[in-house]
Amino acid sequence: MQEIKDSLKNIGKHFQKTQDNHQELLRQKLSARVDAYRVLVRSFSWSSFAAWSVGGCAMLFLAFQVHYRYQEYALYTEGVVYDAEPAVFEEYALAPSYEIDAYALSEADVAADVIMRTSPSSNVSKNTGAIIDYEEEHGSMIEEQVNIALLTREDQAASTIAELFTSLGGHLSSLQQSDTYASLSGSIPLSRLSFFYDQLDALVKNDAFIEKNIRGQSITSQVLDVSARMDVLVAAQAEIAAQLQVATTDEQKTSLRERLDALSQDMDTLVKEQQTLEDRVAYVEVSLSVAQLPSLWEAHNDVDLRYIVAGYDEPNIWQRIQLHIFSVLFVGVEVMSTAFWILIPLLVLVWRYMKRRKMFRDLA
Amino acid sequence: MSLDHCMFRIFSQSQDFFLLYDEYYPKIFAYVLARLRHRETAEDVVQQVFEQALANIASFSLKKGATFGSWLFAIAKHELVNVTRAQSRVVATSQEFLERIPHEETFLQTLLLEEVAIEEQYIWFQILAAMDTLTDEEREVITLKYLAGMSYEDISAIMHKKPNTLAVMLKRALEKIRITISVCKK
Repeated sequence: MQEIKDSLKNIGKHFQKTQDNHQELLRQKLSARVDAYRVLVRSFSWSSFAAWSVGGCAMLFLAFQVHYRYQEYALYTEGVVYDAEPAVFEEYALAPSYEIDAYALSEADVAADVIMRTSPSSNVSKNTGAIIDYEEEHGSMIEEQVNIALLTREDQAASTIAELFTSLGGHLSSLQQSDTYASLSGSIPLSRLSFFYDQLDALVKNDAFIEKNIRGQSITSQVLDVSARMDVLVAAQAEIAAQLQVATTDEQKTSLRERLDALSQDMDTLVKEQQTLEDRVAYVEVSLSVAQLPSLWEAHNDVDLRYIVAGYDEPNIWQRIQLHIFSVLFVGVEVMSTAFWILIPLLVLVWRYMKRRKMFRDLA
Repeated sequence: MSLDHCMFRIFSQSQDFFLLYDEYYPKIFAYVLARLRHRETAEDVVQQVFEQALANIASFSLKKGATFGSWLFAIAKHELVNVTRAQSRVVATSQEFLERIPHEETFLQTLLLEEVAIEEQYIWFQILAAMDTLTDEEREVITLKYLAGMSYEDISAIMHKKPNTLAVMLKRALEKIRITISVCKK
């Protein structure tokens, strides 16, 4: 058996050795084809894959960083402000002709300006001279309404402001809130209004946008009107009381007492009206619109970077250069990312296909 | 790095392909030659085997447990089927075996056996003729093991049989050859 095995092995060795020429000839033939297939098949390289992935991620990271900065500034621009404007600033359109942008004005200036620009609106009293005399003696009776619009990053801005109304001795009459927008209205004591403004400024700090619109309306004429009516009622009451003193019959007394009761009711009504007028002066009606800055990834079109980069002013030359660089870089990074991940592999595939076709054509 | 793992570098360096080529060409040639017993035809078949291997190199994968050698031999078997389909080489009787010996002698003489002793040559003729009395599987395992010089693991991958089974088949085949030769000597 061992002899047969050895013989078989020797046969095998001899078979393997008797082909030298053909082996070399075949090698030469195959060499040309190996080159062709080198284009067709590539071995998988982990290092190439890792380089491609890391490079792509780096490009995307860079693109996002530039895009982030672009959006961060752009969110303050007209794109956001204008988006919010219809809801937040719509009251501008409704403001009366004597509206004032009073962010920097003191209340006294507001009142004075209002007095000068406002014509008496009451249809009860036309005595302008009486109004002026009264105001010289008692001071102006201004009913103020303030519209404030905020754009802020603070999530809890609306609820914080709502608490502010009550903590300052005011009253919150309405609160409507959604994810990104809130509308509040209420009244703040006039004496606490400055403090309220300070609290708002402290609340929104740096990255917010505040618009204030203060309207004032003089109600002195209404006060005078009520006062005059009260005087009339008081005089009438005195006269009826005097008549009651001298009434002889029960019918007369009953009638006079009924008239006195009616006068008392009218006087109570006027007292309430006076109190209401006093409250309208003592409390300022405040309407707030709070719009939260949307997510950075929310797309905005037609943004104007001027207001943001310049901090709501016209940009200077350096800021204009920054704006230009941002714009170019943003577009450039987007293009490069697209090229890196899509165009380059596509071109490589096309090149390999063309080269393979040429190789096979040459071999044929 | 084993030669089989050269596959993954084959097209980054063409020399790696020819390392495999140089390793397996003699084995493939011996296998095909032993099956066909005709030198020129064997050369043609071997050329086709390597051209097929090159054309389908992308479909080969080490992950499936196959080796490059087993893959090449599988291609060779497939090519041989086309060539040997019309030939029936099973020798059933002792007479037919004796009649085969001159044919094998003629065949082996084409292989330039000057350095082999005459007695050894005659044994070779007999062994090759006796291989035709084996079944296809037995002939296959003898050819792969001794003539092509493959290991049990490679043969197992080629024939899809366990090494233990192959060992038993091999032993049985060798016994058959021995019996055939000893009977015919008598």
